[in-house]
Amino acid sequence: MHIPDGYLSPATCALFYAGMAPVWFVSARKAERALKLKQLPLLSFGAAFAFVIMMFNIPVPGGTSGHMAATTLMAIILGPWAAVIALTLALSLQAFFFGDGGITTLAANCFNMAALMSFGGYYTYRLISAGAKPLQGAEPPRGDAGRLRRVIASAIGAYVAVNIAAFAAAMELGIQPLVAADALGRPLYAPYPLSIALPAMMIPHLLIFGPVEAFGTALAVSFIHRTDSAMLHAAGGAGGSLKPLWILLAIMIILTPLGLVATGTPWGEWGKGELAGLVGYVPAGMHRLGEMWTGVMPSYGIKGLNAVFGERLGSVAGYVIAATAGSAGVILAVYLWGRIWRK
Amino acid sequence: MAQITGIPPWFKEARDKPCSTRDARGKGDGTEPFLAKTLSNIASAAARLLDSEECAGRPGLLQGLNPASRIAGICSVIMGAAITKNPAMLGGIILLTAVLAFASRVPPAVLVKRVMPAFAFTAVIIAPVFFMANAGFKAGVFIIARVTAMTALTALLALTTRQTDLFRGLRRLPVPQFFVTALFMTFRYIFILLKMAEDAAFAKKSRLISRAGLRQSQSQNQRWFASRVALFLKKSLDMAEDVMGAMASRGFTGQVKTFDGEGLRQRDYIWLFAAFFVFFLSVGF
Repeated sequence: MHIPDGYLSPATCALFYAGMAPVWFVSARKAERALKLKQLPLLSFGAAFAFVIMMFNIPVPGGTSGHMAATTLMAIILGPWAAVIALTLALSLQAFFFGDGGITTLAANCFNMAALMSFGGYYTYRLISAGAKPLQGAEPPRGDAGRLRRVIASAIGAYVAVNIAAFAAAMELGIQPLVAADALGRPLYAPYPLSIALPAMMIPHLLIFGPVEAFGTALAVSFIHRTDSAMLHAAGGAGGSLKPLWILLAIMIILTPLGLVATGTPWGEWGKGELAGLVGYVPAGMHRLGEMWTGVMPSYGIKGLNAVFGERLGSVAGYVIAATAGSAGVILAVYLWGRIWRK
Repeated sequence: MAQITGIPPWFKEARDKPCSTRDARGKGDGTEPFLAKTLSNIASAAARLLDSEECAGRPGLLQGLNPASRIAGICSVIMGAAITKNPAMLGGIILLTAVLAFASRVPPAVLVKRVMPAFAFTAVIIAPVFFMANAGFKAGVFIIARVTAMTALTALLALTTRQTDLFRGLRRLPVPQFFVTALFMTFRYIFILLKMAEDAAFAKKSRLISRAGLRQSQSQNQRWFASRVALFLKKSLDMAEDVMGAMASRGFTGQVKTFDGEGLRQRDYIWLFAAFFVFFLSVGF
């Protein structure tokens, strides 16, 4: 996932350096506050650990092996802010001494693999493990629901983190033909559009690298929980508020109406009429099955809403109601799941 | 020479590598593949971290420069390579890299070895571009050349800069001191953890018997992996605590004071002028 030098345009690289500068600053401050004077050796050892653990191959089911980035594990142990700094240090050394990633693309790689992975993995872990039995002593009883839940949470967190980072990297690479081309329209940096970059990055990460990272993280968290669970919150990794996550979710929900600005049909979501226009015919199976289930709110609309508010305002209201209902449904499901698990 | 007796025949057999567990059927090395890969990764990482010291110790053009001006100059040429849209300019930067490598007495084989992975990876990735209607052969070659030039320059910087010089040079540039100090410490600790990792992998390998029936199960290997991760993590946290205690007892308050070495000399100014000239030329082209 390390983006090498020469794949991103200078403008993209500059944007990421500008974007990461405050993240590094805040991370250093937060880590300093959380870890006090311990921070320097701890962050350095954390970075060295992340560096070395990437050398280890995990024996995965099926007889093959792969290596993990251990970012989510680091975020769980050190806390996400400290993990951002530790991973930045590790990525800097990799870029300089190993040529893994590049100097101009360092900030973009740090954004993907240090920031997104740390926060994505950590908050997914926290969200799923919230309410798990508290860590007590060195050896929690076997079969402890808290342990199982934490292990599953860490695996899902690692899987989500890897795929968020891969998605970001694919987006960064995929927009290059749009933002940097010569006078004849030929690409100057990563040459493939999003339609190629996204599946090329996401398919291996969804099917191979994500499961390997999840598996490795789950193995490590399970072992640590069984042998020395105090380590799981040794350096500020556990505890803390989930408030930032809820704020982020609220912002995303508020920003949902931005979808109304988009024009045209998303790739692959064509209706039968559009498909017929594009390829000249509608496959028989699609024709037959397409009418079977049109959803509770087909095309994000509610019957009768257009008649009351008019077509434009009705479609906007329908879109916002659909987004609100969807978000509420997901939060309700997570809440119920948490309640059931707690029992 | 008297025949040595009492030593079992297998002991006298030449082995291709230490602790080889080549099985009786001769079907490859009986070592667990994940373990062999781990050992190979560790060995290659350690070799890479150390081999630049040898090149950096030679007398040469880049080695004779102040570390800060060397870093700033090479970074500006890297940025030039990133910015330029002109194939001739990019060709000039590649030529300049080759001249710098020669003048700095960097063996071509070492440089090529460092550049080859990025070149090969990019060549494979870019191959379909040669057949794309909106791109074509020229665009594909240009992208490969740009990646190669930038990787070669980064490798040249790494190969001509001692580790201590790198951190001293970064300290004089607008890089936060906190970050440089942490980077320096990370570099030191990597060696400690790499040694620990190598010992762990060798210890595991030396206890393996390759006979199919005696090989460890997948779950045993996975348990071993998990235990090593936990061990390294525990050791890292403990060592961080010890180092902090040692630093605090010596009066460490968070501020690191180091000797920055001598300032810029005439040759540094000439080098910086040349490097920035290349950069500004790239902006124009």
